[in-house]
Amino acid sequence: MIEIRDVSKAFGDNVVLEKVSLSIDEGEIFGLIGVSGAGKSTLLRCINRLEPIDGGSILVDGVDVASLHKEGLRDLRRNIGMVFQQFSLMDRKSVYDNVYFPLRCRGDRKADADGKIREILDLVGLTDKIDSRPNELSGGQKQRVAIARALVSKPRFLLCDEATSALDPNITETVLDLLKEINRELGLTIIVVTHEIAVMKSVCTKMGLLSAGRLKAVGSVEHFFLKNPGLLGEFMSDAGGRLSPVPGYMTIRVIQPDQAAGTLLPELAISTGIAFGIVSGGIDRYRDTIAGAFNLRVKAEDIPRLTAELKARGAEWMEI
Amino acid sequence: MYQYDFSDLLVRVIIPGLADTFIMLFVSAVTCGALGFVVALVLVTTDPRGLRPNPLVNRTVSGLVSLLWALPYIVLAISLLPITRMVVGTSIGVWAGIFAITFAAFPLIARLLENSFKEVNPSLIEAARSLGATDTQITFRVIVAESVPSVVSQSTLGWISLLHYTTTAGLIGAGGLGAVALTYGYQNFNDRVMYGTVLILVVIVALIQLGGNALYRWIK
Repeated sequence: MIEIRDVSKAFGDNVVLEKVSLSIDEGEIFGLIGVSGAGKSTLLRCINRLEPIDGGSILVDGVDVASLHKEGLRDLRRNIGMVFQQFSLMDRKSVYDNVYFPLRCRGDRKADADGKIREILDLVGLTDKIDSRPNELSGGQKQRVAIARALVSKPRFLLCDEATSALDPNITETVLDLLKEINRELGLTIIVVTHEIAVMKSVCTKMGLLSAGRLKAVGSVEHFFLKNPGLLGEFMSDAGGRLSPVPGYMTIRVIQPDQAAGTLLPELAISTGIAFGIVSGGIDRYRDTIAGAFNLRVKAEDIPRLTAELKARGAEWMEI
Repeated sequence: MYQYDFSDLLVRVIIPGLADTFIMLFVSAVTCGALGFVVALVLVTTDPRGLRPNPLVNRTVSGLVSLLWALPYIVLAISLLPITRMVVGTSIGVWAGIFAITFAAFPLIARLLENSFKEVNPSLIEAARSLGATDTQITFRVIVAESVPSVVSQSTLGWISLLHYTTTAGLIGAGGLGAVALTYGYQNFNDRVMYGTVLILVVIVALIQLGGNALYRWIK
């Protein structure tokens, strides 16, 4: 578990983080989101103390990160793998030697490390590239090597700093699938820093929104995308999906719970006989569930009947 | 003007001169390389963006390096003479030359190595820190290891500069091809010796350049 308490950080006069408090539970894939310059990468670097903090405290499994000295700090870092946007692989070393690096630094001999290296390269699907140099690999493969390197010392946490931002969308998907697999099979707690909507939707269990160094909101992915799309206004142009009001009509937002068939709206119209307009919305996949939210334009006098029906069907709604 | 027999000159002057030049070149490469390497590591490590920033050490060492670098070689070598005499026992000959060359040329080698070390992508260093590497491990296994191609490509410049120093050292008593060109060529009005040494130096420079390029391609 990672507890971030009132963390502040400034580079000179430039305040990057201001009293950020956050706790990340075991086994979560936590998305730290925000536009560039919001402080999310800095916060990530504070967790394994690549950056020292100016105020507050960070506890990793109850240990105050700031209290650690040399050996303790290195142990902490070995327990927290990290993956970077630009892969940060050593170009002059083979895939195998890149993955061996953290074990070598720990003092493991190659003969002892060999099994672990091969096992982890098998997990990321790069067994056939073991002797390649990084510049012979594609971006997605390089990031897999970096993930293998971060995981080879069997950490319990993994920090991903815009790990997929330099990749093509379809490659991004495969790397995200790998992260989900790692989370599920190794039980790793993963913290993902990203500004990509697709990443948030497809892997995160929880998200925290940073804006100008402050934590603006924390919650489940559904909380952000379905119930409070306005929060993500910085990322999505059509977050609110609001049109200019029409006299006599109201707009309500209906949250469709996990319902693979997606037939809530037509059922609603048929059973109530109310005609409503769909202003915006859609159904999407959030991690492993399918859910949707729609903004509906309804005649004011029909609202009570429609909402009664929504209640009966267990769907949430709100006026917007 | 006395005309020497050329084959006599070749065997008794030019070839020994060439041998002296090579001794000075290789030994000063080792001394300058070692000293330059240590100084470059100190500069990179204490740099404001280095692993252990230390402005005082950084500025002092950097200032000394720049000072030695700024002095013309002849002036530096002559002003070092008392120390050379104390350390080497004499102020002339190959070893006195090497002593002076070391002081004159290690700043260049240090700067060349420092530049190569600084070219290493900072994100590699950050990644190594995140993986639990110590500062010493980062210095040698990341910074030094990853800058090898750059060091090799810069080193041709270093070798050629050292060759310049060895020939200049010949003018103040160190022997070698510089002394041959000066004494037997220039002061004796012997064009064959004069331009013969020029030719030999051109060949050495070309070999250094070709060797450096080949090594760079092989190592990269």
